[in-house]
Amino acid sequence: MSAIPISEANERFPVSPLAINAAVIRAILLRDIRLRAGPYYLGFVAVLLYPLVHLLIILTVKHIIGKIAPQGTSDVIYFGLSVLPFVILLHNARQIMSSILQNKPLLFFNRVTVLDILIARGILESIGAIVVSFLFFCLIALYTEEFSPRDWTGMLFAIAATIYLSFSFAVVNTLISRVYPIWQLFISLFIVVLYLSSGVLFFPAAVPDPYAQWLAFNPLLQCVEWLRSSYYDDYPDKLLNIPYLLSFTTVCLTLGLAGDRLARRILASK
Amino acid sequence: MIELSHITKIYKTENHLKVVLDDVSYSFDSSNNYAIFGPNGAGKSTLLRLIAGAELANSGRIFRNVRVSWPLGLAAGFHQQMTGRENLKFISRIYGADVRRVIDYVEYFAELGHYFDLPVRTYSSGMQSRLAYGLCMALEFDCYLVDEVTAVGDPRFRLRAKQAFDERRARASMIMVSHSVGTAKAYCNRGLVLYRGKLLAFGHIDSAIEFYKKNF
Repeated sequence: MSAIPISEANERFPVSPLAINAAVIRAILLRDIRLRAGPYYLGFVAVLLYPLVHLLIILTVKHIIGKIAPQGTSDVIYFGLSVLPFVILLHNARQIMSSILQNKPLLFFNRVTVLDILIARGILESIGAIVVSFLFFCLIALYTEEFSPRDWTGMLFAIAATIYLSFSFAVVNTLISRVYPIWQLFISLFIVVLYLSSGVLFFPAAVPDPYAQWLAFNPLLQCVEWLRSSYYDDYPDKLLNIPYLLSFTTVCLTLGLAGDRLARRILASK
Repeated sequence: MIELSHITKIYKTENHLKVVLDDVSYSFDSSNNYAIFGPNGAGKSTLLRLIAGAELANSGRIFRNVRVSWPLGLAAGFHQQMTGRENLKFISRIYGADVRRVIDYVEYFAELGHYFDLPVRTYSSGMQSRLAYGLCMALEFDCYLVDEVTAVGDPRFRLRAKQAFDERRARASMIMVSHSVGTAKAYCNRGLVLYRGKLLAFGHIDSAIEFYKKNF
């Protein structure tokens, strides 16, 4: 049986399903901003800047310890470019994954789906990640005075890919943790493993085979390598595999979306 | 039309499974009003939540090509930290309704006074139900779901609610869950009985009432 277009009593023309989805996502987005901002909308700026503060703290610690950058002359730029993808992945994924729990009562309304909630939060976090990246580049440009990327476009694509990865990672892990709540504990551990093997603590090009080949499976390392190779003129990017990163991310997203209905069925049986 | 196709709903309780709906198929026509009878715990409210889309069946599909309300008066979707006004704004946007019109209507209808701008967590259950009922009336659905258990409010509010509902009924159909034969007969022309996981259809409401009275 095919459903006829849904129309509102106070609207003259039928509303397409896509328009309904857009209206629902917009409504959730505005509600999310209101709830996270607290009584004043300025509070939302603080929420957006939280990842930047996290990033600056990590960089300050590394600077104080006196870690020497294996590439380039500035440790702030090298470690900044290394930690930025991790901070985006960590904060975006956490926020997107927690959105279902925070907005569960919304599923009472038959127009709202889990995907609407995830997309609304994903849009919000993506905007946050873009703002944080922009401010971070401004800050290191002011601080180091030697900030001159080789390929701005490549850097923007690397950040876009990190945002895409964080959304897909969150969607597929939300699906798993809805069915198996204990999975949430493993995710935190998993993100730590991703961080430790992402090339922040070691120089990936210096890792011998076959270990380097194994490390290359880490999608976060791919984001870091993409960002570094776009910044430096002579960065050894032998581990960088952009088709792999995009394929991995797309498969995660597809699994997450395709499994949503299945997860709801399993949850209904519990 | 709302069509239930091979719907099965099972709840897991301690040490056993409770089959609430067992392979139920039925079509609710928009031109009729339906009353669903059944003993306590038969799954009438569950069936209403499934039709509303607030809950998912274990198997089977529900097709809706009309705008279906949530069970009338049920305030499950409100965010407790947000004010009544903010909740209305959000839900109006979801349904693509005119936010200003909905707020004006519910503010007048629910008579919450200054509570309208206070967080919903400060409301009594009756106030939350009034807000939910008013919102349901403001949004205008094609099919209203009525769970008689959720009917709340003082006699004055009940009268207002009945008047508003009668207005909507002229343009919309309804599916009612009830123990009260009188109420169901006043509103509905078709009767169904939910019994041991099966939905028994009787056509005219009198036949359903006769079966219900004889067996329960």
